[in-house]
Amino acid sequence: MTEILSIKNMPVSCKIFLLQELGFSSDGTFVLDKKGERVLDKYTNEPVRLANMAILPGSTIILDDNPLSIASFLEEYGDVIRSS
Amino acid sequence: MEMSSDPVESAAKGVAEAFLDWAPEKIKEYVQKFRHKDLAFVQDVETIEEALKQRKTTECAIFKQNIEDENLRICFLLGLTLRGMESDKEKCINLRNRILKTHGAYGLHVAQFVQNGIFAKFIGRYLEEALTPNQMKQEIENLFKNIELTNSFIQYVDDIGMEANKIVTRIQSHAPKTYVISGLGSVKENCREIADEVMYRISGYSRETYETELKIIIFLNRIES
Repeated sequence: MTEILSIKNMPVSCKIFLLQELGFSSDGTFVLDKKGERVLDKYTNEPVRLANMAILPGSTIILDDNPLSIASFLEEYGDVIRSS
Repeated sequence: MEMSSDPVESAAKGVAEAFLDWAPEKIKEYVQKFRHKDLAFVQDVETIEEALKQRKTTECAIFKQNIEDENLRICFLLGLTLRGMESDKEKCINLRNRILKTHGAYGLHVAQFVQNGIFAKFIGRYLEEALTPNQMKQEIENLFKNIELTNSFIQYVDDIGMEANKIVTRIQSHAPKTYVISGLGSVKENCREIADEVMYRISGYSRETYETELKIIIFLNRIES
């Protein structure tokens, strides 16, 4: 089963450290990719904010944590999240 | 957490433990778990858990057995999400706007169709009619193909007379087996008035109403001779 961890209360500096460990970074507001460009939510095409990011396994997909993006992710990569 | 008798000491310990959860070593541990697909990071656990729960419902299983289109499936799931958050008006409006922006008016209508429980009602009808699995698949495909011609989702701003005219025209042009009028909350009375007007102006249809405190669904059924 995949554990779901809330990072809602994670300090900003720790969020940035987490992103760096995964090969990403941040300008303090948005999530940036390896080239320093803003990461866009795959399903809404909007830049992902540090304050509302969801990091999902598979190919390390970073999305905006909203019901539409989450439902779309699960439809595309459903088997990646092993639920009980 | 073990409580100390000294409230200041206890609070300090709580803060220290909270920071321990996000210490660099701990984050590295999380990253390892993440790489093995054993962990996902989200803001609200509730959002993803709700989405996972909906995917396991019978309503969803029946839909997926019959519809392969990925976008349609997502709109269907978002309809279930909308239904689950009906008590939170602001969240509902945000999601409706996102659906409209991402999947267009058709996507939003599919989601509303599911939110209002109309799909579930149709499934009940198909089971009553003892359709074969192939017939049911055909009916479900047609249901979603023709959703714009056989459904009216009444909004507060809609004009009763204009909506009734639109529905009468659609019924007279396409003679659908079923036409559905539905609405939420304060538009329930408007839905009834529209249905009254339509029924007055057309023939060969019977009316069937389902109503809860929150919503109304009116089926106008073609009378088979």
